[in-house]
Amino acid sequence: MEEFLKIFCCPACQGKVEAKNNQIKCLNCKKIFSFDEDGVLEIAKKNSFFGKDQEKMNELIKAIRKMSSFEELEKNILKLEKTSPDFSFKYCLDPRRADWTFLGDFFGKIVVDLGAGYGSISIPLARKAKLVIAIDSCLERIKFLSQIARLKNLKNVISIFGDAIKLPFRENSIDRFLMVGLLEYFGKNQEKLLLYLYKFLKPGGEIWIGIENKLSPIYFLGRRYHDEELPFEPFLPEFLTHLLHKIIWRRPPTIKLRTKKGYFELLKKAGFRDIQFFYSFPDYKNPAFIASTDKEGIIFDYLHRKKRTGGDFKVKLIAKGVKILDKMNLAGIFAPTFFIKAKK
Amino acid sequence: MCHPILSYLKENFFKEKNDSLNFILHLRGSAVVFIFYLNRKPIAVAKLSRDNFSELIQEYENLKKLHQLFKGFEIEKTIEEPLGLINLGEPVLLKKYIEGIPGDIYLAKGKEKAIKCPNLAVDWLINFLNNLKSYRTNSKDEKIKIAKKFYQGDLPSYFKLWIENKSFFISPTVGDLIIRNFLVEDDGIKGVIDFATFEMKGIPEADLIGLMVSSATSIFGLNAKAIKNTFFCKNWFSSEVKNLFQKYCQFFKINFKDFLGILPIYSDRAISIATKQKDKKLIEFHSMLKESFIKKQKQIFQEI
Repeated sequence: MEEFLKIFCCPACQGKVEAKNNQIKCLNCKKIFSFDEDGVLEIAKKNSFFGKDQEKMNELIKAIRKMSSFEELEKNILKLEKTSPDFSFKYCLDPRRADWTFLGDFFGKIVVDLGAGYGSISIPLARKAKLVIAIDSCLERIKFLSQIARLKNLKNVISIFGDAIKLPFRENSIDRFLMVGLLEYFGKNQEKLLLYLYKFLKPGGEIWIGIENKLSPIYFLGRRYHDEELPFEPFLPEFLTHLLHKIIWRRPPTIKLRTKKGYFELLKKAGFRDIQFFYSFPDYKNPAFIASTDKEGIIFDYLHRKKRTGGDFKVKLIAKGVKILDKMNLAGIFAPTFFIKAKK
Repeated sequence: MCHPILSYLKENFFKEKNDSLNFILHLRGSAVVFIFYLNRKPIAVAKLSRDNFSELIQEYENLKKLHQLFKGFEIEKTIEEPLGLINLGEPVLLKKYIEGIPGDIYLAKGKEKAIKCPNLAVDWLINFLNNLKSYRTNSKDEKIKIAKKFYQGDLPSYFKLWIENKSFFISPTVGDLIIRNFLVEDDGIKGVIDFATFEMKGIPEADLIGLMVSSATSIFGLNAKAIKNTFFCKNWFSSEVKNLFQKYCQFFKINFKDFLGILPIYSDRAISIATKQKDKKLIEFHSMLKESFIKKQKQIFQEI
């Protein structure tokens, strides 16, 4: 908490704060922010529930609240998976979802996980980082995350119910920002968000982004990013996408995907340097492998060896496609997803 | 590219080379593995652990020990070579890359390879044990100590048989030898990996049985069919398993019937390892196997 208070400032007026009795009080505007019964610091006012069944999710949190250890939760996983449609071990708790963090250096760092969700990255990362600040605008998810941190006795995880565009930090105070599966939701405001985050990073601090590639082969096959998207949408001109969304859903599109070049230029425009791409297959949520380069034919070599190590027909077919692309030096351009690291 | 492990490799192993060094991060396994490429060729692997650092340190110590033990023997070439254990905030085990197809995949490529692969593996195991014969013992006290590691409570008859029978010896063992850890090509074994469970005092028969059981589950799956087709059926695979068991027994002068009597020891060891790994499927499978070994002991390698 001491470490957290060093970087925390009032999200409303950026004033200095003091902590007292499970509350943080702004010394300037006198606003009070409280930690709730789940240990979540509530800053946001509007809950953006993101899931299938809010009521069941709250029942799940209630059940976890009564537990005293992570082992107890582990024993009840099957039961909880059955009763809570939003909960699955693989999606919410599998530490392998944070494996990509082995790509970077997070030891002793102050890490802010934006859109932290259930904590599948924040929780495993707490082992390495000095402080993990998990932020999500879905109250149920961040409550779940906070409870998991309690069950795992992680003292260096702070859970905040908040918004990525209203952060309670001092400038130049954060070592790492993580945005896995989040940036795309900022649509036209992606640059604005990156410019905003830039000021909170320490000099030399890094932003890590996990995101889909607009040129992912799955989009050429007509697959959609989510339900409120049209088939082949990534390839439509912006004005047409806008128009079609307005007609069909009566609102502008919320997702914006870019190409490798597009992300590079976006980050460069926001002031970031040393922009580095990692190519994640088949996705960034549960990668099978991540390549550090798309230039040396190593993706081809790896898959060629993997071919000899089995896999079903679908896997073999996809691997064949990626190998062909890599032979033409195109596996990176058409990689399904990226992890991107950029420095301040 | 400035990943800390890459920088370490460049600084310590490839200083004179200006060629490009890159990596693939392989993530579908129990550990996180980096495969490093120099000039488009895999040259080294780095193993990191998600949470069990001590296992990684143990593996490094084991590899160093094995290379000392096998110095001058031909078998040394097949033991994976550690390049170092470095601390980059957490331990990173660096090893030389070994070519070859994992045994479980190799033997699934047809009957011929399904016979060849376990044969190669058993020959390797016999060679491994034979090269370390000076470390063997059949002291009863030592045997009891080992048995107690895998079995709590009064020892059952199969453990007593193993303890009393002097032809069964304690020896350095791989500890959890499975067919997948053999990297094989058509011309033989290229290397053996994963010595995290190596121990100076272990039950060699458990490694042998583990090889056969893991071969069976690679062919038939982790199910009752694998048990039946390997131990309670007469077919080409069970004949092969029987032959390999007999070959081992002949080499070490063990009575084959006595050997069949100690099969459940393997299951106890496997259950103990699977429990540590919290692998419910494996626990279930090995419990089923143990029950079959005990209840249908007289029918092993018979048609039921």
